[in-house]
Amino acid sequence: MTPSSAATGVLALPLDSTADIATGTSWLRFRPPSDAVCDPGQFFMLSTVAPSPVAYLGRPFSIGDVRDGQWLFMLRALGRGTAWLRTLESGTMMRLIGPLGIPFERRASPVHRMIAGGIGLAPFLFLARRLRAEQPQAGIELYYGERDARSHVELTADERSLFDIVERFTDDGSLGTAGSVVDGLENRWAETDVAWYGCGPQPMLRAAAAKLEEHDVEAAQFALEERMACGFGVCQACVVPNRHPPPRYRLLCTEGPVVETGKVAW
Amino acid sequence: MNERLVATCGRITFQNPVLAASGTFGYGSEFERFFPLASLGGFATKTLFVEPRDGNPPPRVAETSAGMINSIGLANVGWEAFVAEKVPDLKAIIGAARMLVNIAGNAPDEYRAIAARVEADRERVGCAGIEVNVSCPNVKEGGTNIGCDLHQFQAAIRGVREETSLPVFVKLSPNVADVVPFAACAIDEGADGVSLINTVYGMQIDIEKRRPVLGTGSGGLSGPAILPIGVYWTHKVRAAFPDLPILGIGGIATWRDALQYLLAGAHAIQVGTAAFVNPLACVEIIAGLERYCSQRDTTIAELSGAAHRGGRLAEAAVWTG
Repeated sequence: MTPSSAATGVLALPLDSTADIATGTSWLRFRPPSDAVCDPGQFFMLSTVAPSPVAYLGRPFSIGDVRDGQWLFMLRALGRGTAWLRTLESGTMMRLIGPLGIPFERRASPVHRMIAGGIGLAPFLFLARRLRAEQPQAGIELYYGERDARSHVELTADERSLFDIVERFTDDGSLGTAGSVVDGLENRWAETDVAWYGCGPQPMLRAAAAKLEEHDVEAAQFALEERMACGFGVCQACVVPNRHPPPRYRLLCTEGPVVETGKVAW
Repeated sequence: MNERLVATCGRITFQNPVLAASGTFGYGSEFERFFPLASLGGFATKTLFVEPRDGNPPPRVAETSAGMINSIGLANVGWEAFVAEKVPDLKAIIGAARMLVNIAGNAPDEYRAIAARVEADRERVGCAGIEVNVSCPNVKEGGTNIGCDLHQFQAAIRGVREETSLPVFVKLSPNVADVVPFAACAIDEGADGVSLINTVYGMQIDIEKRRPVLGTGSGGLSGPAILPIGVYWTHKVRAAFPDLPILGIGGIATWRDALQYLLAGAHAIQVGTAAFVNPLACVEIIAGLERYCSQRDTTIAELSGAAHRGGRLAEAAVWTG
């Protein structure tokens, strides 16, 4: 699959509904216009149409899922702005700029393996849904780590059915396997014919990229995060260092957020 | 074109008084997916140096409750790449909008060098004028801000003026005790006008990590937080130099904000940070000013500086637009 060329625009949509899915974590749901399309790995900048008293800028949210005619964005309260967003009620007019960024490339592969840390789970339900539809024979696996059981997003039956394997990890052992996803994958790092995807905190991704590199995998697709003011290539804030400069940096909004692991100076 | 909206700034006439500000509009074509560039009065390019610059290490932005602090470090593609790679796209879409090429250097003599390049390529680029970003550390003098040191400021402007006959607007820094002497110096050195204000020094500390958020420690504050500062200096400078063309900038997010600057003395305005949050801010401001002028039967030219002329004492009804 080649990335789509969905038209980027500014949408003003009422927040359709919200739903808590873990401690501090919820879905924001919208009803997009029928012709609006987006791909897994892409993101939208979300802000309220009425200026917020707390958060001046919009915030990047990867498209979490597309189902039942709705767009879902996974929100976790991690700071003042996201905590404030979590208090918004249905009907609040929101501004959605997007879809933005380079999506995951959905190459044919017998196994698609996703490693998620915390809110890094966000892009993978939608990715799995698309892969399931496009490559029904492929195995789709999710390795998902959280700090503790309270933070863990419990998958619904429909979400669970998108994956052949779901393995869960917690730092404190309160749910699933104790320890990190990176340690938990053990010898599976060495398996060939696997399409790797990652999203999560920088230390986890750095460790995962190093493991993959030990096995000569440099084309794993990781969705990265950095502070952004605009999301569409103008503010130049969201830079990550390139492994092979020049240029020294890449912009995550237009040359990401999905980046192959071998291209980043971790 | 709506004649009421025409904004004359010295030798440059804009079809309306709304410009997109330097550093928040890329090289001009990035917003085309949101609205036609040709609908703007004009825009100022991202600051261009002779040589390309990578910019500062991240994090480069910190959000505040009413704006943001940036430390992008004037990342830019350099003059040659701008002319070769950006200008062709730009020329296809610019229409009646006017381009200001925003320039800077690492020392006063580098301002002369970039101005010479602009002058040499002026036909090919098709710019209406130059905006000089003086808020740049002088790498040869311990990093003092050129825009905050009258001596270096004068040298930079003089260099630019001697190299080009294009209209020159100098973008003034608010990080000085008094902006007026800098405006005076710009006039003495032959500048056509001034843009004010640039960002205000700012810092944010991460209370968990116990260190500054930005990779470079501090940066420039922009957004609604600085609106009153910009309006103040616009009013001051217009009072001191009633005939000086002024491009008002700093915290403008709505047509009401824009109108404050015009009334304070600006001849046209620039929209910056607001376009990050709402890419349609510029066109919404144009629409708002258009409605205001039409319903109040006035013009941008008439509104400019009106706050210096006693204002209007009685309004039959408050118009809410």
